[in-house]
Amino acid sequence: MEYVTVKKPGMLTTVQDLGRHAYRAFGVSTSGAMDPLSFKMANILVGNDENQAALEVTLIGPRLQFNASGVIAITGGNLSPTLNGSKVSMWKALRVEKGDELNFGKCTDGIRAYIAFAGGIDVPKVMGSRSTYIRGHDGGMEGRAVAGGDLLPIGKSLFDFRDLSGRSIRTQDIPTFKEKRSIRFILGPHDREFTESSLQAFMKGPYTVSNESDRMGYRMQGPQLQHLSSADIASDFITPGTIQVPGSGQPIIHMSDCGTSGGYTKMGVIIGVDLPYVAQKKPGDVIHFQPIDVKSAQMAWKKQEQLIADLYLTNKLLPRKVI
Amino acid sequence: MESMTQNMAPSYFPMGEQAIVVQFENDISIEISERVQTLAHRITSDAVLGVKQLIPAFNNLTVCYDPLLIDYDELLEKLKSLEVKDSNEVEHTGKTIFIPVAFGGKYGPDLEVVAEKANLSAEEVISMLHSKPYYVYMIGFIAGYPYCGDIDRRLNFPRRSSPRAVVQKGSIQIVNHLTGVFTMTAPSGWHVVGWTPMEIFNPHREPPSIIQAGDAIQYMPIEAEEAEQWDETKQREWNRLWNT
Repeated sequence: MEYVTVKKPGMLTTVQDLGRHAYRAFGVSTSGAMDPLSFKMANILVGNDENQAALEVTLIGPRLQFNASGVIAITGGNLSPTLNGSKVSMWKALRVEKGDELNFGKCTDGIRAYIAFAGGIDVPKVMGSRSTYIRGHDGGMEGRAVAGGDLLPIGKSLFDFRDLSGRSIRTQDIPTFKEKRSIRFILGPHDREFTESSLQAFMKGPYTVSNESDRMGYRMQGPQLQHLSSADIASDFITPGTIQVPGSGQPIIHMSDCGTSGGYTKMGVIIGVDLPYVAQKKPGDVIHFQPIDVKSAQMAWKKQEQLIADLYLTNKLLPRKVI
Repeated sequence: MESMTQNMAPSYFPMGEQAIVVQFENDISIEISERVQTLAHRITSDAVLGVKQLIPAFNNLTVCYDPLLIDYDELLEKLKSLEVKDSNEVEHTGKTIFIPVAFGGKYGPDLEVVAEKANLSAEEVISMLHSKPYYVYMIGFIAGYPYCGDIDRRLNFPRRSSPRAVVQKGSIQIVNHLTGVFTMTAPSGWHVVGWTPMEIFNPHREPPSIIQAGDAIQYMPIEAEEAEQWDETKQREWNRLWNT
C-alpha cells in the first residue's frame, strides 16, 4: 500500500504518534495519541514500532479507500467499523485489498478509535514527531486534521502481509471503556492549597465531562472546590493528566494538546495507566477520582509496559526479512 | 534575608508517577530562577539515569523520568545530592539575544494606554522598555513563549479586562512585571506595545527556539518601515552585528 485516499474525513481525524515530549522545555505541546494504550496495540498488530504514526478518529469515523493491498488494525473506542459494508473485527490485523473501503458507524464504546497501517503513515516529522498539533499547525497532514481528498502516504512495512493478517489481542488484554472504573490520580503538587472539605468533596465526586472538552482538556462539572487562599500560582509545568483547579472551583483535566505551563493550582495528576480511560470519555460521562500512591502507580505502569512488551513477543514480530 | 533564602532547601513533590517537582521559595526572582537553572545543569552534567526531560519554571524545576529505569525514592535521593547549597555555586550561563522592535503605532496598540495609565509619554515608555536586558525566567504557554522580566515598576499593570481574540506573532507584550515576544498568532490578555520581524520560534529549526530559560533578551528600537522591509538578509546582518 502506498497511500490511503480519504473519501470523507469524519468529525476529527488526525495523524498521531506518541507525541513530542522532548520539546516541552521549549513550550511545545506534547500532542500525540489521547489513548496511547490502544494506539500502541494497533501498531503492534500491524508489525509497526509502537511510535509509528496512525490515525486517531473521533466519534464519527472517516471513509477511507486503499490504493493497494495491505494490513490495517483498528483499536480503541468502538465506532462500528465496516469494510465494504460488512462489519469487521477490532483489535485484529485485517488484510485489505486494492479498492476496499473502510467506513464507520455508530459509536458504541469510548469515543476515539485508532487505525494503524502496516508501514505507518509516512508524513514528515516536525520536532521529532509526526503528531498533529492543530493550534500550532505542526505535524500530521500540513498541521491540520485529515480532510476529504487527502492521500495519506503509507511507509514500507518490514513484514510479509501474510505473516501479519489474523493477529489479534487476547480478549483479557482488550481495554473496555464501558465499565465503571475509578480514575486513579496522585495528589499534588498543590493539594494542600485546598480546604479539607474540598479535598473530600473532590474524591467523593462525581464529576461529569462537560461539553467544553477536546484534545486540549476536559472541563469537569461537579462539587465546587475551595482554595485556602488563592487559585493562582506562578505559572509552571503542566502535563497531560494534570487536574488543574482555577478560581471557578471546577476542575480541568489537561489532555494531549495542552500547553506546557499554567498558572492555577493543581489538585493532582491522573496516572499513566488510567489516562487512556479518560481519553475515551465523552461529554456527559461521569468520572470518580480515586487517590493512589506513587509506588502503586509505578507498579501499575510497569505492568502495562510489560504487557506491551509481551504483545510484541507473543505476536512473534520478527520481520521475515531479518530471519 | 539573603542568607536565609540561600540556605533554604527545596521541597519535592510528585507530579504523577513520572515526574518530580523541585520547588524553591514561592516567589519570583532572578536569584531563585538561577538556582533552578543551576540544578538543571547539574542534573544534565550528572546524566542521571532515567531522567527524560527537565522543565524549568519561575521557582521550580520539573524532572520527568522513566519509572522503568529509576523509581521515585532513588531519584529523590539523587536530586537531594545535587542540591545547590550555597549561592557561590549558582551558575550564570545564559546568553543575551538582541531583538529589533518597532514600538507603538499599529504595532503597539496598547502603548498609549500604558503610557496614560503610568502618567508618562509614549517616548518615555519606549525608552524604559529598551533600557536594559530582561532575564528569561521560563519558556512556556505555547510554542516557545519566553516569560521575561523585570520591566520598570511604573509599567506594571494587570492583564487587559477583555483579552484580544487575535494577537499577531512577533508582538511584544507586557503584563505586571513581565514581558515576552508572542511566538505564534493566538489570543492574549497582555498589553501589546510593539512588534518584531525577527523569528524567535521555528518548529523546523533545531532547537526550535533561539531563546532558552536563563538567557536574557534586549529590545532594540527600529523604525516601522525597517520592520516591514525585514527579510532573511536583514536578519543575517542583524545577527552578525548583535547576536554572534
